[in-house]
Amino acid sequence: MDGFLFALTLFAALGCGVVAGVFFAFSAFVIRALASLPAQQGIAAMQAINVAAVTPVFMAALFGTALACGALIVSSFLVWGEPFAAYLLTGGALYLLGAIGPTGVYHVPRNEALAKTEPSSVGAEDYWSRYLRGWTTWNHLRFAAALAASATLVIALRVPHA
Amino acid sequence: MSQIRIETVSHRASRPRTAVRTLTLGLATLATGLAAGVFYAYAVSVSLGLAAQPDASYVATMQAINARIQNPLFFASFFGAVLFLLATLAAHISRPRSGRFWLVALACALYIVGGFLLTAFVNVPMNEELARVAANASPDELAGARAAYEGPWNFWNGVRTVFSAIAFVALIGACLLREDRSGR
Repeated sequence: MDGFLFALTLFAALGCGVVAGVFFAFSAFVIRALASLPAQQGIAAMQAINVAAVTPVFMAALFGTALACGALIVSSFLVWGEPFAAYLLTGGALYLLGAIGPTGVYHVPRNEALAKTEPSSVGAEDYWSRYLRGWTTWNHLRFAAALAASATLVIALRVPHA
Repeated sequence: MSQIRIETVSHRASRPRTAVRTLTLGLATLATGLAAGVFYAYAVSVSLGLAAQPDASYVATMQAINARIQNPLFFASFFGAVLFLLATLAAHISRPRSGRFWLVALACALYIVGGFLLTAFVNVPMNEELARVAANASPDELAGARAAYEGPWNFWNGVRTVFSAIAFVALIGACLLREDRSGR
């Protein structure tokens, strides 16, 4: 593996690990805590968290890692004969399909719908409990995929060179 | 080529020990990475989101988070990291001159001091103080409790995020080094 590909893989492995940790926080306790609050308070807190998460630091981690994973997938085809190529492809695909995919297709639309919900309105509580259930299930998946991607990319770095 | 030969020899000599080293290092990396990610999640989303909340809601949410975080899943990473880091260090102690040993020792120091002890002696006492604030406390009490908590807690959370993240990077580095060599 040349220096640039090594650095890119290392960056992606770290990024996947950190993003996995963020999803882990939500899967392990943040959502449970918000669910235990009165619905109105829980909704307002989640709305604020969703707005706040769109900071450059977190977006850089989430999408910077996605860019790196895209580049790793392309690189894996260019170096397909190498023993580490399959790990690069698997790691990159796990993150893009398993972490970024659900985020774009599932979480962001739900977060946008929640943002439009008036916390004290009729029906807000129903929407909130449905939101929590689905959001959490898909978050477990994002967490597992990002974690597996990180481990796979670390293995890619360790595979003996041809 | 020399790499392959060394590996073959060391495999034959101590395969179970190599397995223990790989396993403990893998688990330590996993647990430390997750703990770092949790601290990072506060820094980049939870704390920022709650900053926009009124006092009553801030206090209630933070109290709920501090109560719910005490669950087996989080403890597996937070305390697990300490256990697995020490186990990894012990597993590598017979190779004190290897690059891996030094990176693991560095990660131990960073996470145990800057992640674990910092949390135990700074954040947890602050959480306990906040937990004493009653739900029906007066607006002044809520504002005072929040003012004493939010700024310092977020600051120390930033510090433990940096320490644990560097520990995680050191462990990834250790994963990349062969166990018995000083270079890659």
